[in-house]
Amino acid sequence: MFRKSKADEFESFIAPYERGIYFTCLRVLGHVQDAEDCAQDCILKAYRSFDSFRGDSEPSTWLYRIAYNCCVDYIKKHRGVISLDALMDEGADFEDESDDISPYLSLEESERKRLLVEALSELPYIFRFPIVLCDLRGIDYDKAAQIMDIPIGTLKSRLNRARKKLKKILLKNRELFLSDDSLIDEGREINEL
Amino acid sequence: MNCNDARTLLEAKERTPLQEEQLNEHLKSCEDCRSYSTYRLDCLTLDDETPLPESFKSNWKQSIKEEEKMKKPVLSPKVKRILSLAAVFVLVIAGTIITRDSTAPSKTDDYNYNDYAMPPTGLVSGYGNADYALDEYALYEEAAPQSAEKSASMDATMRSARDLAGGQAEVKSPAKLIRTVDMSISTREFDEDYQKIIASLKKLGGYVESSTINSKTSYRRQADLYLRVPQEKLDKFLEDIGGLGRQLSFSESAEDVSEKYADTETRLETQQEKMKRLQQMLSKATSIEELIIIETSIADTQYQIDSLTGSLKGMDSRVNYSPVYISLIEERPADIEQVKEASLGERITSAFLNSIKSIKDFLSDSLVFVVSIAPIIIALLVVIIIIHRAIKKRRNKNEK
Repeated sequence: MFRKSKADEFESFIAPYERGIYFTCLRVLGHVQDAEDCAQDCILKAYRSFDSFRGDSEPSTWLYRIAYNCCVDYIKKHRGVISLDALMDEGADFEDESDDISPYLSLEESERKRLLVEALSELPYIFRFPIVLCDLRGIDYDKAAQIMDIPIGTLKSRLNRARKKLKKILLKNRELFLSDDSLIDEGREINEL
Repeated sequence: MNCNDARTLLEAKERTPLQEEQLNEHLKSCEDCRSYSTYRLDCLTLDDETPLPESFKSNWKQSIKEEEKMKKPVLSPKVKRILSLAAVFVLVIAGTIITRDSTAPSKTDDYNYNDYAMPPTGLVSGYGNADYALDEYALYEEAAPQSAEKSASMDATMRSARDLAGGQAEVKSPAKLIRTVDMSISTREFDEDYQKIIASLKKLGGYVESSTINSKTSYRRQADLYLRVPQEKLDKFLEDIGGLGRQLSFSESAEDVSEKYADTETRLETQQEKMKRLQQMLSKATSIEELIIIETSIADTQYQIDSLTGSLKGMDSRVNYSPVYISLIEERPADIEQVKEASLGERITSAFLNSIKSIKDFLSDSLVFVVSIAPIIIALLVVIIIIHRAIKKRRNKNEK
């Protein structure tokens, strides 16, 4: 008569998405403790509205939408009020100055990933969300648009600009990186690719 | 393969071996696409080797357990639905029972009510109140178990009592005697018997002082009549209506007001004598003070004379026109059935038919109740929907 195993049921429901939720929060917020708090808040909210989830959308879409909203709330609460529209304007005049990506390719995978994480943390939040959802989590464009509650065209445009900005940051950081650590054998890395 | 095709394939979740081969060929020759491919792979595998913090996992599980402990047991949606339906059912039943009398048509002194085939307006005067304590249900409970024979016997006994009261009155023959009759009659032919009572009254020169007809339920009516019958024709009137329906109760009383009447007459004569003397004194008065005192006395005396005259007229009226209270109660088919000794088959049939009728009556009453509260329910629903939408909108806004 009474639903007593809701917590157990929810645990098995959330298990496949647990990592995705946590790392989405981590890559958006950039701090482990913030990500833990935010992801925990997200899971708790999902648990509270678990009864009302009727399966109209895919569980992943539903959960990432909650995670997205939690991140936005968290940013507003802990980093001051951030106008996402203003951040959008900030990146509008971005120009891709260099097409030469070869220096990035010359790095080892672990170094590239380190650079990528650093570059992500330098991206404005407005661009971080599409990169994290579409590129890091591999979510389809239409679902990512649903999660962010924006038209798919807006999402594609934002994603394109985010990638360009990310590329610029990567190249800039890579030069700094190389100046700090010049032991990388560029020729070997290119051949491996 | 161009760069667009290559990027589409890179973003695709599955690729055929041929596509894979073509893509590799393209990547060897295109540094941009190779860079994009590396970027995609780095992104997708960025967190693969990073373990999930143990503290995170244990913390959210702990939070959920605490949340569950704090939360009261929640009824499952199925139980909620059943309880909602039960609540609606109880509401309709309770509402129907409470409001069935108030929603049934009720008419009091409305002689234009066609269904009741009321007597002509001229026969009835609609003032006064002839309501008196008559518990019709108690009477029915009392009368129902009795057989038709017992009922007939009861009627005969009542007639004897009536004859005795009337007889005593005739033997004693007081000068001023007020005879009052109080009776209740149960009838199957309510309209006809009502007409007969009024016709007999009119024929004997009496009149209706007040008449009240109540029909609180749709299947039983009751007429409370306060009649005035010329005293010398009271016995004839009682004889006329004696054959109507079943008499449930009968009482007759005779009040001797001769002494009181004589006293009042004497007091009146005294006051009249006093008035004559005062008028003589008034004609002889010399000062204004005397005039004022005498005129005040005249006014008081006149008041006494009027009061005593009214009292005498009232007594005369009650002596000459005997008050007769009649409660005419309509019998239900079920009541009629109860009177006679029924066989088992008849009782079963009667009970079954009664149940069907009760269900029918209840359903019709329920329908009336539901229709009557429909505007309130609709208004409440509109308010609830508006509030619900406003809350939802606000919540969504906050989430965004």
